[in-house]
Amino acid sequence: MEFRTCSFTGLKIHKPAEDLIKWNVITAVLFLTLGGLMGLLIGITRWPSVHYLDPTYYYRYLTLHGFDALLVWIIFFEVALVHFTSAVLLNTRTVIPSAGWIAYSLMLIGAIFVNITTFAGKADVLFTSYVPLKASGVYYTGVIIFAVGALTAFGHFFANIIQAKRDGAYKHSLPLGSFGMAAASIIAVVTLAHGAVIMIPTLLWSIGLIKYLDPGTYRLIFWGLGHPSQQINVCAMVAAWYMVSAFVLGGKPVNEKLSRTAFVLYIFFINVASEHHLLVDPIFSNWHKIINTSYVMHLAVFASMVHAFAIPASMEVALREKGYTNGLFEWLKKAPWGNPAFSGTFLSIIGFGFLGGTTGVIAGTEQFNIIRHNTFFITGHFHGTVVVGTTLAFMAFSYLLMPYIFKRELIMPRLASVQPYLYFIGVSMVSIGMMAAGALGVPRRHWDITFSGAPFSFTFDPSVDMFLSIMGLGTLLAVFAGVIYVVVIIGSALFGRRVAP
Amino acid sequence: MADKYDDEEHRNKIEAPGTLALSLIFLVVFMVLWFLHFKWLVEVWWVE
Amino acid sequence: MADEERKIEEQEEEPIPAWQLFYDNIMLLFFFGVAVPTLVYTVWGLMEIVQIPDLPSYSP
Repeated sequence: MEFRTCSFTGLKIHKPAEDLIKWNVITAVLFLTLGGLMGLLIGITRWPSVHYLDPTYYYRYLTLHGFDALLVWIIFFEVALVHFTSAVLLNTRTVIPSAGWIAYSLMLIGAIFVNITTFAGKADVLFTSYVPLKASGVYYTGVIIFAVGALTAFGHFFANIIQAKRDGAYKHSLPLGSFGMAAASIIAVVTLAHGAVIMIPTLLWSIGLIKYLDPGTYRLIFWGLGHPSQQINVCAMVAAWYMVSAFVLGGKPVNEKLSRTAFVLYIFFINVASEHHLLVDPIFSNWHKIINTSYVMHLAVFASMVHAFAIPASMEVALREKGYTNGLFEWLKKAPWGNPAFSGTFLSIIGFGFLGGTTGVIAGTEQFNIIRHNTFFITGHFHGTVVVGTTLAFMAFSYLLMPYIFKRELIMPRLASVQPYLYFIGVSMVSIGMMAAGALGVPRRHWDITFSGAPFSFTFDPSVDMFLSIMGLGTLLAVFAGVIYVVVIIGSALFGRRVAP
Repeated sequence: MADKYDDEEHRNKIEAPGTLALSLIFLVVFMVLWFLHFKWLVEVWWVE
Repeated sequence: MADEERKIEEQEEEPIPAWQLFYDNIMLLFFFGVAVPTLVYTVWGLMEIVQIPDLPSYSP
């Protein structure tokens, strides 16, 4: 018997899809642990009164933090969402499960290659690996293998939905969660294709087969990989928001046409956000910059604003149907705040919108970018989007997957229910501290902001120390909450009380 | 699964007044914060 | 019997709006999703890079 019926959701769950989801989630959490540990080390290094690591280790762990926390954790989790939305949510099977396992193995091998090379000190090139900074060929090979694995996994999504239509699992429209992941998969293809286009020549250059690689071209194409990989997160995160609203509260989108239009705007326009990285680049014309950032991009920003209010509205309608109709805000007061899946999602919406989203739009405006570019502000912005937004949303979703897919109860449910709040507060402090320091000119990535030994002397506004300390304290709190998350998820997956399938 | 979305049923109804109020509150708060932040930024970066 | 059932089904089936057919066509969305950023960002950017003249002393 390859199918079982989930007693919570009534979904028919295909056994191979279930196994793929389990392994991808657990692997994702393990890499989050590693990425989070690196985050702790570099976070307390940027805290001036601690300044923990030596420069060599600082840049090494910064490289790993970017790769593990920004790519590996998130893409493994997204692959779990791929199988969840293209098989489980459609009550159908996953086609060619072996392709899922090949994708999983490739991603794992690629990630291990990159981690070992970087730990061995052969790839201190940071996440961006800008040429002519050169890493060992193994590093680029690892990135390529990882990208090929991820491409296979997202291709699996399309194979699944095509087969599902043939099997009659849906007639015309995919459910909204699956539609969101379809958008994410389309964006993923664009992203990973750019990755292949630039990483293969970079590999050949690093092993000496190509003499020269143009840094300007590298930056252009690399950001076709680097930034859109975050747009996959945005789409997958929004899909997870809708699904949590549906599963926890029974919420339906208030206007399905509007929500789908917002996803379509993502598909068409969000990938040009890469241009933000090139706004101070003298190579590109103003027209290229203005059309991309000030016209095309804002259509995708509009889509985010649609989602940011469509999802709370769907939650409100669902809660009002349950009878919480007094006044404007009774539904908000009586919402299931103790359920980490709900609270994590709600905090993720707030954090993504108001810490990450608005600041991204500000920093992405050409005129503002000139004083924000390469400052800590940018790091603060994307900790708002990727950590408070995506990571918290995925944490919330994984609390739902425990009973649905792992068939286990959460261990330590009390601790789990405060985890999203602690994580939200911690990472918000990190994000706000970084942004405030960055607005005062503190550079990103840099180990030594006192510029000791430099031919010129420069001191920042004294309040910078306070903001960086807020960031450091936030790091400690976020890591504490991250440890709770890892213990609860791994502990529940292994030792949680079994629930009826 | 419905073939056609049931959006028509929701047309011209304010079903989520709380979210509408929240969005307006956020709009006002954001505008105030944005203005204060901008003022602060000008003070920090102003060169005589 | 079967004919009657089919008739009822046909009556219930309302025409699906054109925009919804467009949104349901994932492969068409895929095409635009790849084409728009590739043209507006990548190809345009590459064209600008190749138009920049080399330094007179440059030899790769």
